[in-house]
Amino acid sequence: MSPAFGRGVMTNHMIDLKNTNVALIMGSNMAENHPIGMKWLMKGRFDPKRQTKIIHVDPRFTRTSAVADLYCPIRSGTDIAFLGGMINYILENDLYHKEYLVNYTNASFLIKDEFSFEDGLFSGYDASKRAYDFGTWDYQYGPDGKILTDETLQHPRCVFQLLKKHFSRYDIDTVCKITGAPKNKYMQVLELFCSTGAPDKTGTICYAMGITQHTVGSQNVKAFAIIQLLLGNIGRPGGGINALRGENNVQGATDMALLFHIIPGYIDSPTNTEDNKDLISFIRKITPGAAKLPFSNLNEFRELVKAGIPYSGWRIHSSKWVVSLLKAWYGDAANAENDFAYHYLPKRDASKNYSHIALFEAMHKGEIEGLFVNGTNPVVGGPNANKEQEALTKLKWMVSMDLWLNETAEFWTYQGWERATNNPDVPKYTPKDIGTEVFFLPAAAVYEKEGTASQTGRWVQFRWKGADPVGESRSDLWIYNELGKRIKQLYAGSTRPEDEPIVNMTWDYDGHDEHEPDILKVANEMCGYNVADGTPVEGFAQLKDDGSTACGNWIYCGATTLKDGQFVYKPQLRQKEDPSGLGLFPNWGWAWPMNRRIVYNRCSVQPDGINPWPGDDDRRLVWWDEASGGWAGWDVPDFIKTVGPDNPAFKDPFIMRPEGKGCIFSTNGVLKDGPFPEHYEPWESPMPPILNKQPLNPVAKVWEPEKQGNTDKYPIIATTYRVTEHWQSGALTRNLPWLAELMPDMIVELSEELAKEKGIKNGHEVIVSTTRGDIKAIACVTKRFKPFNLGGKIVHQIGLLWHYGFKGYATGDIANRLTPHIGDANTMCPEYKAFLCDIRRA
Amino acid sequence: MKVTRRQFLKVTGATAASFAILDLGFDTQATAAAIKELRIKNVTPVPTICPYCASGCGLVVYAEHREGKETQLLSVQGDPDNPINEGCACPKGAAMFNLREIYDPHTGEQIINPKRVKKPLYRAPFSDKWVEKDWDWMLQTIAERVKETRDKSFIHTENGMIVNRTEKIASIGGSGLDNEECYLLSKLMRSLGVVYLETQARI
Repeated sequence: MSPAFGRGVMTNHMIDLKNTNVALIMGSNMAENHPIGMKWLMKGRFDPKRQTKIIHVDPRFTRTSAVADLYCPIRSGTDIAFLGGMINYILENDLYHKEYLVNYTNASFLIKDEFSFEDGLFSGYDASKRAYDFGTWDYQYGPDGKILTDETLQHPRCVFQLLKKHFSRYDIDTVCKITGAPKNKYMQVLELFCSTGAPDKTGTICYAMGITQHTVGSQNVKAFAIIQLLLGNIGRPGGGINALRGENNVQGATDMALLFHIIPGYIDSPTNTEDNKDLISFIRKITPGAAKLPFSNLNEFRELVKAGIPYSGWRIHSSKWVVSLLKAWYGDAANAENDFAYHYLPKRDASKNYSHIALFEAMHKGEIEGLFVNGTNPVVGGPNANKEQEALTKLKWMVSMDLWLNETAEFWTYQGWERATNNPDVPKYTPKDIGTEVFFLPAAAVYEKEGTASQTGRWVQFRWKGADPVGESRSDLWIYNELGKRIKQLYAGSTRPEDEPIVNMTWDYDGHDEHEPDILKVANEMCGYNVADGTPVEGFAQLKDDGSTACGNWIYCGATTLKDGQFVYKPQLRQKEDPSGLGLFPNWGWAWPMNRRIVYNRCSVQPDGINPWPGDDDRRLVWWDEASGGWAGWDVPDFIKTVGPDNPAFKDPFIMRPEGKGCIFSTNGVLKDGPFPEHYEPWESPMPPILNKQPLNPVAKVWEPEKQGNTDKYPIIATTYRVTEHWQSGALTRNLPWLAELMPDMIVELSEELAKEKGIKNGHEVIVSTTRGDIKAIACVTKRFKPFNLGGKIVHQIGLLWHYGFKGYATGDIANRLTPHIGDANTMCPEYKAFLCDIRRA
Repeated sequence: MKVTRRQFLKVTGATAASFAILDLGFDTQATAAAIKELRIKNVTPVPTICPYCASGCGLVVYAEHREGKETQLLSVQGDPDNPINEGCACPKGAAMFNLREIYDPHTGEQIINPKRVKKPLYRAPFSDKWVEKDWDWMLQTIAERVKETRDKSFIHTENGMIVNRTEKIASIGGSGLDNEECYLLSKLMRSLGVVYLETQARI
């Protein structure tokens, strides 16, 4: 979503789902995995004003399908074909929201003449590097430096016409042949969802891991973005692209940049290249539009910012976020004379990838010595789990923090290496073979400590402590505070320059109680304070790049304030008024950024800034208030408050994008595998390419070519998924007797047709195998799976539960022992959802 | 800042109402009075947010804080004040009591979930068992391992540029932690020079 809108977040929020006319749920079994969110769609269904219709697209008929108005099957890994057909249908039948499209998106922008697409490849491809040169993926600029546009959308080089051409190949018959979707069902989906292109209607898309866990995961989401921009559904109540996140604070962990490629607040992490060598170079690199500007110090840069940098967007303020971050982390040691200690930050090798799969590949080669495991369980949840488990044997030391001894904490036991079959290709060890030193730190449970979590719609809510930690277990906050103190002690007095980041790191979080640090001290630093007096900075517009403000994460700035001299942490707010009736609840908790509940909400009014979309009076979120000369509304405007009709940026709702528009065409390689999505088959697929000549996403990195399974040995498609009684790798549910009892066994679902072919009956033990390993499971023969008819070719798909392992009250074989080490071309998110297998009776 | 008394009254009010409609088939008045007194004695309802999916549902923890003894749960249930779930809970949310306590299958007694680990544990290289250790030893030893690995693998400069990184230490996970915890983790790891830093968002 970030390449299209500027932020990679759920655009709306859970309660807002009640405001929609049509919901498309795709790549998610929402009724089972986000049941409370699903409740809001049900509210919409029974609201006479909305009469919400629900569409479910999934390889399997699930509990979500059961409550949907319309269900359409799809073969795993063919989402872009399905959605590309929808884009084509919208364009061929003029179902797009024209006023929205022309004003709020880059549909009218002209693209360089050199940009082209042929045989499944965009211009600039280098096969030897499996990478593109992005030079031609850019706009045309006039002599005044302005992007050339054609608001009639007729120019052959405008984004709209290029889009039309690109997706003209995605006709309904071709799409149905690739996806296995029955034509009549597919037609119904097209008709119903595209009805939301009418200005008085909104439609929402809800997705989860069924969309992202693919070699084309990012482009799957980009296809959603194109559809929602065409239909005018972004930035409006009941609209949006709603990523249903699967872990309670995965949003917060991402915000805090527990990812190699960013630092807190979604700023690219610095690399070891010349253009990152000092603070000024780094600011030049991360500030859009600054590349060629004449400045050599912060003073000169500030003058340019004051005058305005064209095509920079809100990221024009990046320098303030970086300097405030450095100030928060390194205190007095960060000052104007030393680049605010920018050199302390680690510079990653620009030529390397450090993401999950790469990390385990490096570990498997013995390149990593020590590992911290913070409440995660890759021996169950990691792709190619056999390999990831073997990688742990190569570590010198490992620190595991969890409530329980999960499979990763006990990877070295005899139990950890039991296998379903004797397969010489997969590793088998005993404890005496494994030299890894393991430290297990017992962690407190969620309600045995206090802190905040950012839910999927960016609402940050506080958790109060309801019980003491069990035994000697401690909160992770205490563990990290203590560890930080001890590491600092070991380095105390060091004068080596390489130790300065630790010696000078600010670390003062002790509280009154020796067992709990003062959480508000952490909150104040994270959300930002004035260096002079320690008072909260009230919002990120007040952050400075002169060292007078400190802020650990600029997007959380504004979550703290002083009221009557008392420090207020807004995630603790519990006031329930909802004056708009739209479910915004502005004083319940706090949402980043700046308590905006629906981002890009400028789009909820017409370009004039005042009028709601025709016939849609009650879904206007914000408006230009002539009397006060500023933006006002039910929601906090996701817009610069004073930008009025006289300002050229008045119709630029996507403030985090340099061009201010929603991007149908993604320029300059923000998506590495193409400005538009293109359907490529999964790495392991039963089908040859039909739409183009590429067997696989041409940019996806192939880590283990020798492990690619083919249809001769592995003719059946496999996918993985969750059930409502369990969660993720199961550590937090298989250790709970009530849940273990509800869902005690590892099952594999298969169709009646495949079961008959293989002589398998419901309840039989079966073996499922891929090139990565074999697992045992109990067969669940069901009508929920049906064989796909792919242009006359019959292909079977089976489904495996994700949650099982060898620890806890409910145990079973690990599904991820089957999944491959290959990931999305952009994010390296692993392909858990489509691979080839075989199945037989045990 | 704590939740106001008024809001908690609303929570407990809802609980009392659900008691009233129960038909137990015997003299409920005396029994209910006795049960009620026992159940609410020393109990404070405390709101939290569910640790499973990211919907952000609120739950209320009712726990009895007993003088000189370990806290004991009464229940964990949906928070009726939270606008996201309005008091509802899915099967996982409804089982959150078990995160800490269970009923012993043999005696029916309420006990701490035996799968919870109560002390830091250490597994020596090539050993086939855990050994209990104290926090002081564990934290100190881990800090020493970190320093040793960092110091011997640290890349201070590269091509004339300060790069301050180590590629020998990695950190994964954190999506189950609170924001403040993630923040400290991110700050500490980066100041150590860790670049192999990943969370569940990737997978």
